[in-house]
Amino acid sequence: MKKLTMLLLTGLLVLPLATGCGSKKQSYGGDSTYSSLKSAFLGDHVYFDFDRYEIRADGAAIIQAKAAFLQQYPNIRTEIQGHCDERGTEVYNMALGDRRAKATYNYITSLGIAGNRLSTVSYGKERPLDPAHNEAAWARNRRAQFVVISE
Amino acid sequence: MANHYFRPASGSGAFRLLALLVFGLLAAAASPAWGQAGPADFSDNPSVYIDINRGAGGRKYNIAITDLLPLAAGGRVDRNAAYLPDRLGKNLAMTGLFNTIDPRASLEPEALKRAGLDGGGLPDFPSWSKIGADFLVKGAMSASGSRLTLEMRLFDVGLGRPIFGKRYAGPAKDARKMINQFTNSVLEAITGIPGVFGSEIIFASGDPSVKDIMLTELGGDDAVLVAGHRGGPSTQPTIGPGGRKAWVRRNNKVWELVVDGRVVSSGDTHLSPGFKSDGTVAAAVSGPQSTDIYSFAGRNKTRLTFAGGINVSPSFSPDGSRMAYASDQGGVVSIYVAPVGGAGQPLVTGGKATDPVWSPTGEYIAFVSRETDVCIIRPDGTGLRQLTGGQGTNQRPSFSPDGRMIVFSSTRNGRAQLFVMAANGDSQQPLMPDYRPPQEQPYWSPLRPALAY
Repeated sequence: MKKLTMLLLTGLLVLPLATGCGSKKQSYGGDSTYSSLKSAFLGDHVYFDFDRYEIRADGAAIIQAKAAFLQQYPNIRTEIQGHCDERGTEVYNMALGDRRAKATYNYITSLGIAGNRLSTVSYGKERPLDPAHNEAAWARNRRAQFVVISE
Repeated sequence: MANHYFRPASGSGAFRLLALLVFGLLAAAASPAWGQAGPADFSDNPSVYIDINRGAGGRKYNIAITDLLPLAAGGRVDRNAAYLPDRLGKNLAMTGLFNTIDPRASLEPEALKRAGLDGGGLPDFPSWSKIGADFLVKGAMSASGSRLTLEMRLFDVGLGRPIFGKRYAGPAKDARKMINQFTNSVLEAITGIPGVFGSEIIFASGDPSVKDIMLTELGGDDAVLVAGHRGGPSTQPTIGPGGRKAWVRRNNKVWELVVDGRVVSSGDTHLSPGFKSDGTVAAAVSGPQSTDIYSFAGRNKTRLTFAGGINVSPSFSPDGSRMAYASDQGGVVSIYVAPVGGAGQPLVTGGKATDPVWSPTGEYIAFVSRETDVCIIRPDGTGLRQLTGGQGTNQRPSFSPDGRMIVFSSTRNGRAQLFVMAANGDSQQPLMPDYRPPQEQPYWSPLRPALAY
């Protein structure tokens, strides 16, 4: 608790110096290494094949990088969102998104990240990254996406 | 005029010429009783004009429906004088059995406009047969304060006879209920089976992150709110025995199962509830390793699928003995039918298939093929027929309580809309053409419409 308070204070003190994104709650906010790592953590997604929820090799590498980040910054809690492309029926896509989030969860917990720092949610096809209606957009939208809940 | 109704009987269709003639005479003899409340009784003398099981391509019957005249000559009418005939025409066209023809084309003399309305006299049938009408509806109304009285009469133009008449009196706000009920009576008189206009259709409406549960009806042109909440969308509604309702909602991050307005299960991701005929609710629950279908009873739940992977969208056969569902256990998501509480889960469809639903007779399962089209198939995997094609994506089919129609969602007009069609795929059209919000995830109540009049 004391450590958390210290971190919080440090964050508040260096906040005016922080260049990019930052909120008052960011305990790691003044750490420029953290900032760049965090933007990769938020921006690199785990992509999936059409109608599949197995982790691909490229996805495994991305999850490994996220695990390393979470190990380096142990106060971070994160949500894993599962998403689908626009094709397919609502129910199946919600199940598919859920399985993608949970496959990612299962993989990252197998790398030693505690389950109580993670939650999962399926958005089905509700929140596409790319609103276009073509294969490139669909490939970008079939993803598991990490969101920082607290840090 | 040829009696074109009486096609040679084929298959299960019955054409009862004699019964019709006898009935027609009875109806004519009974005409002094018109103007009384109460339905005509067709149970002894069903007059079946149309084989409702005929396939696509059968000729539709032309019906002319005049605007409503004042009940008493010189009396007042209101907007219902045009609205109700219009609604009746849309209803009948929706069944796939009728075309409406413009009554203004008729050369019926002005002096005969009221002929047949008071139970005395007859319309000028030659004026109506000349413009191709097989049937004619004339009606009259009176509006006084908030009260509406409606008298509607159906005539057989070909045979030159009245078929039946009905009188409805009640609050003006029930105008649509009255005309939906009259629609059902017209269908009963002409096909031998009453229609299901006024039966409820539940659906999800709104933008993806804020969908609400709404209710409309066959023959409705707007919808009322059933439930919504601020935590996220509510969707995948269903209706079970006694009109009980279930759906799922995303409460911030958690997809919860809602039955009869209360959250009955939360925590894991809940999807696609379906009622069994005994009132049991089943739904998919997405756990750590697989997404499986569970049956819920109070706080207890019983797992129904064991193959792993994704198993969603339970729909139970009318007798409750079998469950159809969508599963990716074979690699691609397809429809399976499992005996409830038994072993063996035969595959019904090949190829990608989702959203299964039983017909009320148990004869067919409707589903969505390759994400885009509504198909039907028998539970044993035979008799596959594609009902939609080449027009947008068409999803979540559901049968009317009499099994003669299917509601589904379609994007063919560039927006998400509810569509209805005859169960053989004929007459596909928007359920509520003028209703603007996005409409998805329809489910047709298994209950027949209540008789209000």
